[in-house]
Amino acid sequence: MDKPLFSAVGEKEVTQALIRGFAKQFEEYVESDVIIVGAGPSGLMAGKELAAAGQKVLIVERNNYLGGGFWIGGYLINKVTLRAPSQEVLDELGVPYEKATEGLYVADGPHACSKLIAAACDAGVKFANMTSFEDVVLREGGVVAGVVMNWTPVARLPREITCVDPIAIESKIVMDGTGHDASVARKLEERGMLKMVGFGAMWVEMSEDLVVEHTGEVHPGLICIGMAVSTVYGLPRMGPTFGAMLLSGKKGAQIALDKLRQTVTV
Amino acid sequence: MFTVPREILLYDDAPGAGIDLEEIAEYLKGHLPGISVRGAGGFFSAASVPVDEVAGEFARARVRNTFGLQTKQEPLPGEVEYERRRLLGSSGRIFGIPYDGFKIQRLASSILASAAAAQRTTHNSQLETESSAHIIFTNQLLGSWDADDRRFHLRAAIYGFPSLVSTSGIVEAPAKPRGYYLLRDRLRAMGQSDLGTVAAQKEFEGSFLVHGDKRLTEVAKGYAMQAVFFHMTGDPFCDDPDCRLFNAHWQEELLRSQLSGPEFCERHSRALKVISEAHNSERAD
Repeated sequence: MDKPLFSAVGEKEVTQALIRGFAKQFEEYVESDVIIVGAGPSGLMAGKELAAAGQKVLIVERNNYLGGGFWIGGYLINKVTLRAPSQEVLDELGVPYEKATEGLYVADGPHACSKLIAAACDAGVKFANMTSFEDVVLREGGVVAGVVMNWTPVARLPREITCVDPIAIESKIVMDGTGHDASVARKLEERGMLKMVGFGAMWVEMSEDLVVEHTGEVHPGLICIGMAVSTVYGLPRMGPTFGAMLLSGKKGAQIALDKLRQTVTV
Repeated sequence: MFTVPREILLYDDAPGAGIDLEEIAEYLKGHLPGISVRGAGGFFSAASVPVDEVAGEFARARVRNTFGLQTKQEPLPGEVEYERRRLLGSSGRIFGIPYDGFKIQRLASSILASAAAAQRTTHNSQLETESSAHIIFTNQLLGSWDADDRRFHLRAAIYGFPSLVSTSGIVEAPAKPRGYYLLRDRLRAMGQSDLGTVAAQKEFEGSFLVHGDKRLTEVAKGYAMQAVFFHMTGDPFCDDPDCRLFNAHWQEELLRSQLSGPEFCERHSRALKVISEAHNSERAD
């Protein structure tokens, strides 16, 4: 008789391994340095940079899959475009690309996105996927200090059928990488603590610089990155181009690092 | 009857726009002998008013809604901080936010008034301000509200005291050829947003100005002359499409009026001749 391909481990050992591994990590990340809401390109980029700098980073993502819209460009075409100098990020990640024209580069969406996810994981970022952001945790003085979250399927069910309370986790800084929705910033707006401008609609070609230039802390403890910046400040709409997402994530990470180092010094 | 300024000051608030203010100054001097024309450095960035105040006013002047009257909203701290960085130079080349041009002009006017008050001499400083024509070249987008179609429109220039000429507005305000928009939008509808813009630009290359265009300085001379005529007569424009003072709404019109044919129409050529002869006769006296 041929030797079995796999080891003779039973089902209960598999389940125990899942639970123990998950519980250990989850408990460890109930408190972290930075919680990033949204595992799109800006969130992944910020997470990668922060974790590589030694920070404890948890990314909360409502979908099962990571990467947000970075898998495909417009119209389901799975190529992504990046304006110079953001193609340097692809060089860092080891993603091949082609020059479309002077200053404009094209890469395969799946390749770029999977490499970015892998880079974030390699740097030490941990993920809570299939997890929806529900609210912010506020400290005295209205400083954002964490998030309230629940499993995505539970969050989508009507309360009449199920009432499963969310849980709260804490951090020194929260980053809003939820894209157009700017979900975290919106929770502050609902409380009257922030007034967002909403989308602008003009001059698409000039919007990438503005997103990167406006990236920063919008409220004590909350840094906006990526398209959330556009929503908060009412910047011009942007098409399916990803350079600003990556560079905004990088810049947001640097701002977070500077703030975390200031806290330590004090 | 002309109110000829004693001097014309050109301010450079357009980092990276690629216009040559010295060349524009020489051009104006050539047509307006006897009037001192000089570069005066940055305006908003070098204002005697604290930079935080100027930054706050710029943030308040942002056009938030193209198609409706603006609601009053205090700017976000991040917006003021962005304006502050832009004014102090680290983000100076960035543009893309449209501002209410008349609000910016009022800000500029108040800065000039502050500066005049601070430098009060035995002369009447109000007269000195009025006898100088101030033209601010900015790389920021300026717009104005049109009550007829109830929307904001981008402008290449806002004439007044002072006048503002927007280098980005010269590129963006006058419309490109119709075919450009049709091609660009067709490709965008197919998901080719960036490539659509690039393809359309290539197809119609040369028929409109782009940012950093080599022709910008030459075109800006025309806007500077419009600002001077506004100062002298209250009317910066001419109906003759070949005259430098033509109010171009299309890039095609702009390039025709600024880059080809005779510089000025008969009426405005005569006006410049009268000014020149008046200066020569003063010198003879």
